Amino acid sequence: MAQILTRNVSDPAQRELSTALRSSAYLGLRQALTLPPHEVVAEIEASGLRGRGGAGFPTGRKWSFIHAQAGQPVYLLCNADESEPGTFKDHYLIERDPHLVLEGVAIAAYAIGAHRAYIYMRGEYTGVAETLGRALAEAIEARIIGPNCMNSGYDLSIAIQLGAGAYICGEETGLIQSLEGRRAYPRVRPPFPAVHGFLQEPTVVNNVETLACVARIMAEGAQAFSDLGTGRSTGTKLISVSGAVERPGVYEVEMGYPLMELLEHEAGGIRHGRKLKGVIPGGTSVPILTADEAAPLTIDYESMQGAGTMLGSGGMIVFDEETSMPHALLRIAEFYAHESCGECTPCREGTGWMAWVLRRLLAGEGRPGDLDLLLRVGGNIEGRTICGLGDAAVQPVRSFIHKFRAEFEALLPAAAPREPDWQRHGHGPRTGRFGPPAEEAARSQAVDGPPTAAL
Amino acid sequence: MPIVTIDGRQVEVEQGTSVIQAADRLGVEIPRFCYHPDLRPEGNCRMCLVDVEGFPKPVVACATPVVDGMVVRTPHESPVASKAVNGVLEFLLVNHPLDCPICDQAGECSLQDFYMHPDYGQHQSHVDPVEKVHKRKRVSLGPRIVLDQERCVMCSRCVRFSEEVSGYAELQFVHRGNHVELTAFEDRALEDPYAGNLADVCPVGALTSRDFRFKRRVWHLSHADSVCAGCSTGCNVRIDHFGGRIERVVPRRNPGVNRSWICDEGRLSFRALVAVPRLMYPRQGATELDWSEAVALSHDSLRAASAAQGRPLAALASASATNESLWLFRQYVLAAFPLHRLAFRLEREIAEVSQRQDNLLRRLDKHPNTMGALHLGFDGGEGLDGLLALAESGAIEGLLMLYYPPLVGEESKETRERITRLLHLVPASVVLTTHELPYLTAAKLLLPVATWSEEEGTYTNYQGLTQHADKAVPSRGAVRPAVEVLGDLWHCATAARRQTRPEEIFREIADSVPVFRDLTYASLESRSATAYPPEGRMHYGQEGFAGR
Amino acid sequence: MARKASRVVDVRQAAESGRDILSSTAGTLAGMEVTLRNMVRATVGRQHVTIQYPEQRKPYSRRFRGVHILTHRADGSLKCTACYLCETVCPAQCITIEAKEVQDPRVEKAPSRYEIDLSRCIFCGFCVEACPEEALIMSREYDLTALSRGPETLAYGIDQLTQRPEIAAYGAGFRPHMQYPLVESYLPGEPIPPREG
Repeated sequence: MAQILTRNVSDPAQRELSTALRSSAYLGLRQALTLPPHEVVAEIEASGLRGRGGAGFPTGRKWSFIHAQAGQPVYLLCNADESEPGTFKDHYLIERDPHLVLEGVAIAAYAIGAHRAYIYMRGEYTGVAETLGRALAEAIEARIIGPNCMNSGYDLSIAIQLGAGAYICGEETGLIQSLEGRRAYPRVRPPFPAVHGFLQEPTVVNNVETLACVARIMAEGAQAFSDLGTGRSTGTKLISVSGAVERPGVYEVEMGYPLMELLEHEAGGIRHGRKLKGVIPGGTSVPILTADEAAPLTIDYESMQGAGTMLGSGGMIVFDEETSMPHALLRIAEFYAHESCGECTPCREGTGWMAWVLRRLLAGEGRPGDLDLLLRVGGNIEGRTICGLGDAAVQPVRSFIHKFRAEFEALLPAAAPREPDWQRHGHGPRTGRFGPPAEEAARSQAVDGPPTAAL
Repeated sequence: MPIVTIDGRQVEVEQGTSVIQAADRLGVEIPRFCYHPDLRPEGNCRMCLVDVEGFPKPVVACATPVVDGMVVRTPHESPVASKAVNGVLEFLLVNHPLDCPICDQAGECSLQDFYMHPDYGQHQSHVDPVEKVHKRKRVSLGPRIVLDQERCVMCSRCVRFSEEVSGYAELQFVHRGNHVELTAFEDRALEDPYAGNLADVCPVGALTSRDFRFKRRVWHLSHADSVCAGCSTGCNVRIDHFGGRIERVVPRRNPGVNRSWICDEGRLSFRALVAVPRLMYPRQGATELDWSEAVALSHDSLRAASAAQGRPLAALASASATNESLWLFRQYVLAAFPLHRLAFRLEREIAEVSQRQDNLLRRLDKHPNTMGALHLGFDGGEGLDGLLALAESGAIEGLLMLYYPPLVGEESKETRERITRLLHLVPASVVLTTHELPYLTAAKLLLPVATWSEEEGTYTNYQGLTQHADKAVPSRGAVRPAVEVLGDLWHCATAARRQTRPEEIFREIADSVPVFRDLTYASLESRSATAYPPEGRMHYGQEGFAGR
Repeated sequence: MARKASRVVDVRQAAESGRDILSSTAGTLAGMEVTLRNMVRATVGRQHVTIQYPEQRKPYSRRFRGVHILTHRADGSLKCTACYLCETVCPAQCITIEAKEVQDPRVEKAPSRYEIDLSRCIFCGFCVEACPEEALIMSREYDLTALSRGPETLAYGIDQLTQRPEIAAYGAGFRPHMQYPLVESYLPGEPIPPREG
């Protein structure tokens, strides 16, 4: 199986510059620095590389949107926030081969004309940040990164920033806001970061895996990269497999690799010999696939799209037949309710509401129509929010209910419970206490009964 | 310039205009919480979603710039937009406490207005009140503002106001999801001298004014458009009053003068009107007079003191008077006293008139009409100090004075003492004033005149912009507007009757003073400024109870 | 019942005919039948139709709209939160409210003054209909008298609206949701049940 990014991960010494250099690290950077920046962009465009963070936007095209005026600073931000549930590939890559990532950052910065790059890393990744920091220090000492990189006349400084520990910090504009020292509230687009990004200057935000691919493409040529994969999905993809498999972990597969093959062979099959029930192919933000739907699929953008889901970040979560789907969904919904940044209304109130209804459902207090309510609330969030988190929160809810509806319906009460009085009478509840209990009725009689005509 | 079609109506706007601004220009109502014309658009409330032809999903009107040929359909016309806005509104009410009966915003609350709107409101609630997220209520944010976190819709207008406009940046959101709360750091009291505006920008009852707290339900209030008389900036304000009493003052939006803001001092300046007892009746020493008597006596005593002895009359009018009062004051002095010294300066008005006190609105000169006085021929060379020097040399024996105490701050001790000394030195003194002020008791005759908010008139601010202030509340006692009193004095001097309606006087000013040429009450810019959100936006509901 | 066929009567003819004196007397007596029967009942049988007001009184409907009552909560505080809805809706404009802040965080607002000028009140009950909390209900007190017409005598303040002895004597009257018992609103002197939990 093709190994591009994970070629050197098994060697712990790969973290050290001397070892890394022996395995041809920074060859791509050296190559890139000999070309004018626009040719680097052209090379990446030719490779057909698409963003590995989730959306799959062509990387070369993203870079070509940068049109800086003379003297205007441009920034490259490397998104190492990796907060999508079920995704842990970036962590793996930086931990095992930090120089590959640094090389990719340097190449991308050179290509877009940035002299300052930031690696925005998830707040919890302190150990990883340390490894990367050591690697960066070595690279600076070796004059690979810094002023006059590799004697090319190109200046670059790279800084590592630990994030504030929120899901939303991994969203492009949320990350920019967080890096600026603000609350990570995503910004309304337009203007896009390519025009007004970090500090209102043109900015590119790329995922760790994307930049690692960039390093390899520059070292080995666009042709070698685009020979791998199928159709418009070129190269390889890191898949983080978790959940009910025998060997969870990060696997690099060529685009177009059969999904079941990955689960059965590399991941060792479903745990305890059970049967597959469903699989989320790209992190919790994408619709789930049932076992039947997953069977014919291959791991690439087109195949996933054809099945109504997305490759996303490649965070594959596997559910076996024993899993209670409503419980799994509640776990996901609570994640989104907790991580909604609270900036825009539909996501702030909607995610909390969906989690609330699911919690009620699982506590045995479901009401008829709750499933439709969930779908309706989801429909009111989707497409109405500033960033993608709103849509991301709705995908699992909708797909779980559509594909495993029977399990959810089993939770609903058999008989319709009495509607609250205030709905029947159109008269708001005053205290939450309704229907006259005996003593209330007696008191009512005492208060409202015939008067004592005693004056 | 791009032409945009909104709900079938076309408008041509400048490049870079947002859809919501274009709609406002057309008068098409788009619901909004976070959008404010004087703040950076944020696009977080999602209430202004509109359907744009060629866009796959509704977009926010506040952050979408118009492009030529764009076809926009608002919730009034488009079922897609209507459904989207209805969904957003439902979300906003999920955790809303619905305590309208004790909420001061009720009656001018955007949530109430939008919920009642037939095109996107009036959904059936699917949430039990017991399920709501609870947050803190009645959080004190200093002497101006009370915060209720449960009512907040997180539109961030207040956050942006304090960051972008006043620069104090004292508010921020904390926590996440539906537990987001607006808060000041450690609930510290806001130090912002413009904090009162936070209650105005808040579209719901989250930030309310402590001063107005529980005073009146807003639908009981009557409104009068006025201009703040606290300093030479002349912020456009609306006086809200009930039963002849001013309950609050709120800014009106005038982009050229004060945008949508006023300072807290100006906002509360109406308190100064009732802090000191009012002068209620014309008075000679301790004797109360009726008006005809008082006017005749005033005129005769001044004539006797000046003309008879060949000495000039000292005439001092403060720059807090309206243009109309100043004009009649000058006309009377010119007509009755060939020898006169006309002055208006109490302190350093001319030097300070356009000096800033801070970098937003406040100015050092606390007189609203210094520029008007200059335009109207009070040359300003002579001030209180000049008259005092004359009086000390015995050159003047008669003094006519039109004096208003400042609404913001106090008259300086030095000025008070100089006024007292002047009144002691001059044997015949007539003072037209508003309050029982200890430093004016030495005047031989005191005539009570209407104060700001009790009379109609115009003020000319530091920019030379003449602005109109309407009468809000009636005067009590025998108090009359200065223009009427001066009209009567004029009658004593000339035996002719003259028009004392402010509008007529202003016409006379416009005819005779070049600076005011071609201005009429109807043409003054300040007359079209309205409070934001504009009043009468609701086209449902009833007229209100303004008539009570 | 079939209607009798109408007959045209010549009035002059009828007046001239002597026998009509007898028939008209009979008609008068027939018309007074009820009166006479009650007269006999009252004088002979001592069964009275009228009562000796004010010594005697009749019960009134539970929906009677009499002088108002301000109810209170279980802890004895006024239920009214000074929302001004009654004042707003009052067509006679006889309600005057002034609000104050209270320390109880669950309440926030209460009236410092609540006055109904009963000499202006038309007892339409709109105020009670408007009240969202049953803080204001009506009693069955109907015989409102005063010795002068000034507002001092018939302008009832909080004390009179909550504590006057007539409330217990006449009982509660009209309120909008009479099909339900009063919920957490109590009348003066009424025993308050111990709180649950």
